[in-house]
Amino acid sequence: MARVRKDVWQLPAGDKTLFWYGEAIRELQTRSITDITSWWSLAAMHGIDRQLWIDLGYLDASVTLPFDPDALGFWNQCQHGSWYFLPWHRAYLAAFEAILLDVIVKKGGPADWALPYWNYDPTKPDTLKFPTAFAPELLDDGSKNPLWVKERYGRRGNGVISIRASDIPVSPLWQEPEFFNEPQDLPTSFGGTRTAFSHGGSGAGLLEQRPHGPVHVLVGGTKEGTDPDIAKNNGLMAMFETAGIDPIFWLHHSNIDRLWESWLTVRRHPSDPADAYKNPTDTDWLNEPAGQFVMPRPDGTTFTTTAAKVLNTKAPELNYEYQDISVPGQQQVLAARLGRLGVAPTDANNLAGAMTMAAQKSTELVGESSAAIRLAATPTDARVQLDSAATGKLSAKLSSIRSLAPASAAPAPDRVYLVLENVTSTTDAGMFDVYVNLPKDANPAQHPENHAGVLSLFGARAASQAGGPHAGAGLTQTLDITDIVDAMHLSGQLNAQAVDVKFVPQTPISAGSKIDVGRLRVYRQSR
Amino acid sequence: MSPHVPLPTPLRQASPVLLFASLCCWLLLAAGSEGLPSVALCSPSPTLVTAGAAFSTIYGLSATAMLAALFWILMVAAMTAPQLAQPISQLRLRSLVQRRGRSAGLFAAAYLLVWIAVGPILLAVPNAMTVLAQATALPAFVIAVAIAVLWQAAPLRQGMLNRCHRVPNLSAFGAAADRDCIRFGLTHGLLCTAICAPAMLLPLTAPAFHLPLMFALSVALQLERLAPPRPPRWTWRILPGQAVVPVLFRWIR
Repeated sequence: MARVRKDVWQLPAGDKTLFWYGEAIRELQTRSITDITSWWSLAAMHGIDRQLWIDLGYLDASVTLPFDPDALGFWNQCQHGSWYFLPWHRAYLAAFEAILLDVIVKKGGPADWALPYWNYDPTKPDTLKFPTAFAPELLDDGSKNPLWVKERYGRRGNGVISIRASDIPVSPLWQEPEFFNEPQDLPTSFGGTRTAFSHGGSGAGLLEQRPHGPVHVLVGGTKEGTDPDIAKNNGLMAMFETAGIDPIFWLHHSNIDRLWESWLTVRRHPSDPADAYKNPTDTDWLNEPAGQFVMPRPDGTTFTTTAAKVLNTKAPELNYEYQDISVPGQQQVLAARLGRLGVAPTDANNLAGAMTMAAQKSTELVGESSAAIRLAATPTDARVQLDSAATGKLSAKLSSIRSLAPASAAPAPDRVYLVLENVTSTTDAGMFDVYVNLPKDANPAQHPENHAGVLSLFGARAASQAGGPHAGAGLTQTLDITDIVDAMHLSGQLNAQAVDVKFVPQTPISAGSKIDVGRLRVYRQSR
Repeated sequence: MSPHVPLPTPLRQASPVLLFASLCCWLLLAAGSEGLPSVALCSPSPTLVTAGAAFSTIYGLSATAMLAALFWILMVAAMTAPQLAQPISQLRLRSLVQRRGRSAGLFAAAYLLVWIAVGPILLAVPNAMTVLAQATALPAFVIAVAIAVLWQAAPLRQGMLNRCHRVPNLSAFGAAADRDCIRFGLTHGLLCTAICAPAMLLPLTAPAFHLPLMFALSVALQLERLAPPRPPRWTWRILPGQAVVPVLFRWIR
């Protein structure tokens, strides 16, 4: 019987899961960073910045480190901006969990202990609160709470961690049937772009972009009144190099891993490809990169693993399952969309069921901003010029939906994306609301229908370094704006020459911060 | 929906059209190098001064010179065409549908222009090396190997290779779109020549194995172009594409 990873918000009264988590943390934190089973080395596997750790008091400057903290190897191993994001983090969490379980059992704890998860469910506002057990500095007996760290500054920097449903959308995940996309296509897939082993990069999949990134930023944040460009002012969760030190990190990633299990259960639509909602069968993903997923064992030895070896969580090596992997908010999105586009309600369901996938996936540029956009502490406006030929084609395709026969095996209507490319930044701890086609002088908060999504800067700093492995290419984020564009089409605004985009900061941004979106592009995609 | 065929990266990212173009150029080069031994393709000019003369001859109107220029272009196309698959696919994604062909054409023309411009310089370097070889009493080929090895290990070179993976920031509309495609081609050409030129000294200083060495080199450089970016540091991984070879080997096995 596999161990059960439980929802931290549904732990029954008297449950000891978090008590034993805390006990294990206490033990692992007494171990030296030179021990690969220590709390510190486990965190450094995700990322480490020697000077930052010294500044924050998590590393003694006199310690001789067992690995080069500047090199990508056993440390600094985390996979972001890549199709290895999910399998690498699963292997990492499993290795972490095995080490904790070993400690817990030796302390007399339960042999079926499993890492809990923080399910920030957008449909349940209470779950968006920061898990209570992690918040107080001291426990009832006056001892230090092992689940607490001081560097959690939250959205505004005052330590209040507030997450809105719109920060952590999950329903778009259930609309995306493909696990990965090729590097020459938009990063619109669930699990990321086909890349080599990649510590940071621009090919993040939807799950990594949101909710993964915003939760990192909104928990970490920046200390009130300080400059987010100086790394030590930011919360631990906001940066690759410190995130693993915060005990909540592991519950966050447990939930990300759970959302992957949920995605695999999403019902396939007739117009979806054969591999919809399935893991890749590509050997590059399953078996590569050979020897580079290196994980520690409780006995201090290491082993290498691959994506193929972590696909079945109930297999003896992993031996866990989630309390709940049901898919919230899975609706008949296509039928509802066809209804909005003018198909009679009685026909919309039939038509949605009859639609087939396009013979070939095609991605076409519809418009683009003319220059880079510097984001600031106040809302920033940008403009995307549209190509009349492309919008004309899009409009015609959307109009043609109305006249389709109910059983027509036509391809599903195009989806439209706003792509934020070459996003470079001097801070990781930033987040912006992105609005499209907002009425002039409108209060953005009153127009959720124009909210395209959020842009989080988690990982942007590393991706912006000109001398780094990614040559300063920055992040790429993809926002599905299909519904907004449908509304523009229906109100006759799609023949406009341009569409306005507004960035509203959700975190403190300093005057000196250099946060640039290299280009804004609008694409339509048929598949 | 594109089919997800499990192919190793070097094969999957290759463009069949560009590979075919490259193959045709190789065949023409092989045929030409036997039938036209008089064409001064890649043969060192005695001095920098005569290299300049060779430059003017190449751009002159004499039939042999025209042929030499044509062969130089053929050689560049044969060696570099497969490497353009990635930048062209990135460029197409960022171009309006009606401009995709034009964008790719401008990019390729600008890229080729850089190689045409550096041709005479590359051809002159072996002569400088001959002078160096006489001064140091070392064979020119040994000096070429030393230069190539040093450059292969250099962080500056890795930084340039990483820049090749950067997606282009291109305008979509009007003259700005044309300008950006040309600039992308020029930048890519300059990066390519800087990355590859020292390795190309090897065939230039070993005339007996000129064509096979060039072919081997272009395969190796193509593998290297497809290898993932790495932090720019001094490295022992100096064989182009050595990181990709095990992947290919495992796939074949």
